[in-house]
Amino acid sequence: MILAVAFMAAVLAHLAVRSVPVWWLLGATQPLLLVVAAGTRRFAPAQAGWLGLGCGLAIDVLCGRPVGPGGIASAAAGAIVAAVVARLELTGPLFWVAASLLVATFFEAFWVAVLLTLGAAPSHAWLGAVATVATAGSGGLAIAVGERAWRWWRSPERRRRRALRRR
Amino acid sequence: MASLRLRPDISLAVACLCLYIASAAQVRHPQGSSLAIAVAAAARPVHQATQAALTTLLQLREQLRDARATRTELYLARQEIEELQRLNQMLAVEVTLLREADRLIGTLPPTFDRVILARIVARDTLADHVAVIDRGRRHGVMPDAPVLAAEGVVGRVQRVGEGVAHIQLLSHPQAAAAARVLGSEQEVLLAGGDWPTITGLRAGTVLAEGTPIFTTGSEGIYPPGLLLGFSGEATVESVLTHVPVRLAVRAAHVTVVAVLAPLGRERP
Repeated sequence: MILAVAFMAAVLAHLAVRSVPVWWLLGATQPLLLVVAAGTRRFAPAQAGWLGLGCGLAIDVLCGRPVGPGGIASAAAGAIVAAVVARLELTGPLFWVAASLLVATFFEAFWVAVLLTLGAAPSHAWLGAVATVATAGSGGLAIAVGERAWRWWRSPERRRRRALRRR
Repeated sequence: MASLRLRPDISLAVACLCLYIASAAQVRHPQGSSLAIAVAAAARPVHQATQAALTTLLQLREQLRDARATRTELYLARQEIEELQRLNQMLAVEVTLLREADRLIGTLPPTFDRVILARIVARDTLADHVAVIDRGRRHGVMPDAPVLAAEGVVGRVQRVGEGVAHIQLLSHPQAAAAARVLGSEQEVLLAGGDWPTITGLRAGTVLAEGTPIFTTGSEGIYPPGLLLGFSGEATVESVLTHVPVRLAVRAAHVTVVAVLAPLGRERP
């Protein structure tokens, strides 16, 4: 359920950053990759791959590219990163930052590789790929900060301090 | 009801493969889509192999047809060779007979202007002492006509058919001819049989062995002067001398003969 909501939010964010003139670095943001990164902590590699496949297809459709290369790249990235996360037992802010960076990196690498095998030219150069990785890492970092803030906000320690302060 | 249950990782790989193929169909090039180019590239060797196999099969079929035709031609050629060999043998025999006939004509006296050349087609030189020639009434052969070979007298025509004639050989028991010995004017009788002899020589006649014996023509069958044979060792019985005769013609070896017109008869 949370992932479905996150997927919808990512789609809206994707449409938002591409419908208004923004700084070019922000325009390279792929919010749906953060959904894939979120799924790598919950699911096994195969399930994470299926989630990545869906997100990648959505990226292809939203970007107006040939439908397929993005799904394949995202599925491979999700499966690999899920295996890495399970192997290294990544949690907390480190998980978000590392997982989003790895997902974006693998996504771009596999996407370019698939396009090259098909004989098609990628829509952006290596600088665009770096921008995508960077914005994904930044997004992961932002989510990690938000998660930490959310946890702090809902922590029993803070609740007790507020209760003591009211007395 | 059967259900298909795939492992998630395998089904994910299959889905990715299907997506890859679908992507290839979407990517366009001047020559067509990537999928079409890939299919064409992959199908080219198969197409070429199929073409090569079909060509080979067609060539094989053509070669088999050629081989059948060649076998048929070989069979016909062998038959033709056999036929030609048979004809060649017949021609060789014919040439031999013609040479013998030529030799026979060369030995005949020029006074015999009506000569019928004939070939002996059957003979019995042991029991019946007859021979059969391939000329008959149709060719002008008449009974009692003398028959000659290159070496001398063979016999006389005994019976005449339409296309064949029977010859009574000199070795026949009933054959006989008036003769004379070379160097003697006395006429003797040559009697046929397995052991031909001449009788009528006076006792005391000295006759060397191997003396030629010729016809005199007085019996009305053989023209005079034809060689009958050669004398053997003479034996004296009372007042007569019996001389065995070695016939000049060995009937078993004669193949071509000359049939003369009978004495005193015109050819029809």
